[in-house]
Amino acid sequence: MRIKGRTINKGRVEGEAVVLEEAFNFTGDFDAKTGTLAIKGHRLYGTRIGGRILVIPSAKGAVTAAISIYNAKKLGNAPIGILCRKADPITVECAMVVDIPIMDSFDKDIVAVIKSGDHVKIVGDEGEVIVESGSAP
Amino acid sequence: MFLTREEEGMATGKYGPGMEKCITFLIKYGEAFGADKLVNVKSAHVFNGFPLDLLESLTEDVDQARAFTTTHPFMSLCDPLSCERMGIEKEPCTQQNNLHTERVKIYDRLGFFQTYTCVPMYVGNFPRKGDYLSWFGSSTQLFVNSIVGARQNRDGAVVNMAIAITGKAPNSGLFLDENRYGEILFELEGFDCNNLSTSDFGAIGYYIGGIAQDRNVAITGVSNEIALDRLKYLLHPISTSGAVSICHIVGVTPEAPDLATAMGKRKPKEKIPIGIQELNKTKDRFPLGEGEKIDLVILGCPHCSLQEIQRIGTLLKNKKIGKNQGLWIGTAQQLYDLAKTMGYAQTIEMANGIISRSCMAAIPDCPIPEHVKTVATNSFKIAHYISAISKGKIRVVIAQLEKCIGAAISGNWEGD
Repeated sequence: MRIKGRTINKGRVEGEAVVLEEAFNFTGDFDAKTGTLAIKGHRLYGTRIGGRILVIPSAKGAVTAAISIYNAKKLGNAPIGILCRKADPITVECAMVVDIPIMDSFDKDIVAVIKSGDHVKIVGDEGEVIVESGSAP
Repeated sequence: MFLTREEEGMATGKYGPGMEKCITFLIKYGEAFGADKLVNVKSAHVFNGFPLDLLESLTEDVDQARAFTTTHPFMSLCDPLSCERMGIEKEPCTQQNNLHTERVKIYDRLGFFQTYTCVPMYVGNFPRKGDYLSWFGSSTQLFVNSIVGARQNRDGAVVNMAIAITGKAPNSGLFLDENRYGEILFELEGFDCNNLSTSDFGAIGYYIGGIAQDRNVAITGVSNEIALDRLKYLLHPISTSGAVSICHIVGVTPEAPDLATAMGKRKPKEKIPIGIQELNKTKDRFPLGEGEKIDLVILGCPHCSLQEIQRIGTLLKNKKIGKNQGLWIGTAQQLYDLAKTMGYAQTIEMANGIISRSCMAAIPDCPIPEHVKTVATNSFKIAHYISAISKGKIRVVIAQLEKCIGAAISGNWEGD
């Protein structure tokens, strides 16, 4: 499946998707020391976000979120790309400070069509995301 | 985005790599949110907790920050001047303090005013209506938009630092009239605002933020005779329980002489009455068990004004904090110096109170000493964060300043 969107910070990466349905925050909801999701009671609690592509609706960002993702990157724990339904200032700042691709405003609802575990390619230069279902070979 | 010749020069490295990185960051960031140009900011106020390498990278070969810039408090209680007396664990503090020594070298070079406070408007960083600013800290952001009528967005720490270095900010968000109008209206009814304590105002703010979330707020029913210190207690919890960036207090906010102007002549999307019941219910959200003693009193979130320090000093004259109690007071470096000149700081310190330039709500990295099980404060922000971060292990109660000082002396809690 190919999805078109707006590229905010360019880059080409591919990896496994982690999809969250709720607004996300790189301070409270993310453990920079382990690179994992830290929302207590969430069905994906403890899932690794580091090295993966984070798919979120938007963020309820704390103003220190960019410091948190910067520290995570030094430990190899930052995501390699972010796809947002609608990017907010804090998430854009986060992606830019660790220089990973970030896209938003897609022609499909990415939170609905991409599943956690899907293999995702971000072709930021062309404003395109290619999704291969996680169960496919 | 339209760029001036000077801005283009900055973006192409004419003023060194730090300036280039910062302005390039702001251009790309601004374009993502439709900014047509950059505007000059009158001042910046920056986060005092950057990883050293990131700070070095953003300021590489920068001789002087282009915006007049003040600094935010020490985070995590690690103020080198007070952390030992506060009984904060030594090891993380030493690490933080060493890191701080390195940051100060950079601040000195950039010409930052080292205020170490969340109330820069009390120590020489005073904005005017219509000024563009970038101030770090959710409660100061709300303050400048709502009380001063200066314009500022809820900038993250890195964007904020880039604005301080370049003196430029993207023309978007709350810089623009159309994004500043009120969306949700709160109507204060059934009580006389002149008789409300700071903790009452805090309860109203905490209630409002929880409902408003990130929407622009308008409030009616607050008299313009209410002192600035009290307005501070009304506003700061709105950005604690919510992420509100502007709150039009009708009759007080420069952009809100009347409700219609505050709302941009549109009808509010929602109207919510606030009476004495809502106020009391909100206070009851932070209860204390029967007969429990107070271990620690924390004041100064946001940091105390000189008048508040004077009041605390007066209450503590010839008194001593209880043997099993503690009193922490957060304020700015410069207000501490002034309080010393006026004698209040000595009175407080003689009574065993501790004055710190730390953020009084940022406890996570260096925890409050183990023996502290109960905290009394007049700040909903402190109650919110300490309850959440300690996962309820520390119980926090709220009351006005006088009762908090009483509890610091006797350990007894008589409620508000």
